[in-house]
Amino acid sequence: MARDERPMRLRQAAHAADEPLRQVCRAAIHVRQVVFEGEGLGLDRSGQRIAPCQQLGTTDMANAFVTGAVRFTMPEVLRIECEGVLPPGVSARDLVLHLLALPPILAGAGAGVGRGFEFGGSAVRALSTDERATLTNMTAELGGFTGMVEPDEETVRFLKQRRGVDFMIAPWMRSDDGAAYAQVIRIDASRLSPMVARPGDPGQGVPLAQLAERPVPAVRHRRRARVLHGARLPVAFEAVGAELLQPACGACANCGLGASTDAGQVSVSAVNRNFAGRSGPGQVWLASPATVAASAIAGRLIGFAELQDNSKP
Amino acid sequence: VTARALVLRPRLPFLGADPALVRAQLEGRAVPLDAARSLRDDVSTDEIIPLPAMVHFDAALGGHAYTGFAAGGQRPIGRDAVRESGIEVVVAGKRYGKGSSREHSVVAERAAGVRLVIAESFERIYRQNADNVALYTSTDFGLIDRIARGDALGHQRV
Repeated sequence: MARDERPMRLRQAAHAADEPLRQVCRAAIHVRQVVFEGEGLGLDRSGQRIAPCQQLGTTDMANAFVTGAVRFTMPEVLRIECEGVLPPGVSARDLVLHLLALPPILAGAGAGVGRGFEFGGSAVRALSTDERATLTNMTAELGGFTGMVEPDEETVRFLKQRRGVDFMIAPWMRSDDGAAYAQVIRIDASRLSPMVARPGDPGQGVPLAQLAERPVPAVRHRRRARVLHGARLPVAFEAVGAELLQPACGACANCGLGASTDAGQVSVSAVNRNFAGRSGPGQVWLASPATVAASAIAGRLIGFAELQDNSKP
Repeated sequence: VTARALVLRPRLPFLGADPALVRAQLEGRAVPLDAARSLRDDVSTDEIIPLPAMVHFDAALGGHAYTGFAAGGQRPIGRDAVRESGIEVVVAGKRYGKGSSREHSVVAERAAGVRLVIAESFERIYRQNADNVALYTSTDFGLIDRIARGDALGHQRV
């Protein structure tokens, strides 16, 4: 794309950035132009450019409100290359729990700490934007500075539908060929399976299939019901007496519904973090939304495909 | 970098995986680093300052420092324990300050009297928050002997 077409696109992007931010219980500052003219998204060959969205403490946030500037050290970038097709019922969340438990990420000082994460590969391109947001959101758990997914046609579709921004993918929106990554971690998507993380740390991941004993969540159902194939989730939840809560911070940060109230309680949750005491005194197992839904229906920790198999007539 | 020197009290509780040893150190018993092994890795900001204590935003946070610290399925550090101990240096394992970017964690440590945290490694946001409130952080375990000897430490990145 010709260089002189850029300012128009950037003005559009800047206009979109002036809209109110869709943030949940967080202070946020939005830079007027996400990417400045002449710069690119992603990593260039010299490792000198990256467009970050990052978390800040209170003082840094206050500084940003006043000065518009944030102090940080240019991070090195880790490339997560996930090729292949995710098996049915396996989602971005399982990929992240798998990554969190990988030796380079988990061991020592953590290969992800302070680094930028770039997610790519055919399995990532096949994900919806919601699923991609799981990858970038969980970059904090990976220890990362910021996370991004290579933009593609799905990005174009999402921004057009949700933000009213129409644009075309251009080479400057992704990392240069031959960009100097600190490390490239390759994942074979077809070998992934539903993952859970044991209570205490998101890095304590284990494939559900390898878990010998299945914990039973504290919330028991009023009655048991066979889940019919093809039944919609709300119907299935109603059948077993499970209650759906509104999306909120409470269950994760122990400030509302969904948190545990005594040490004996076990939760299966799709929240980000399960550090000791974070979501109340109980034990939190991290899992994908599909595993959480299946476990809510079965009354014990179980994968979605496993639940479907069990409920076949 | 300034010329001012930092002399720290030579009481260093090691945040170890054994709750009995953590309690012993808070009661004033000196535990050598070897005995305190293994140090707790992945100490989260949820443990350094549990969320209910975040109704505070000032020096009151100091009384709640480390009250969420978990070791061996127990919470060996009680209310005011660190603030009343005169402890200025805390030692822990890898990836200290995991999780929530809450600045309350480093403010709580400062308000409890802690000046320096020595850990095998730190999480990025925790360390940036620590810099912002002048809580020193270091990965140099050689400092432990120097502090025990009463050496003056320089104000470079210790």
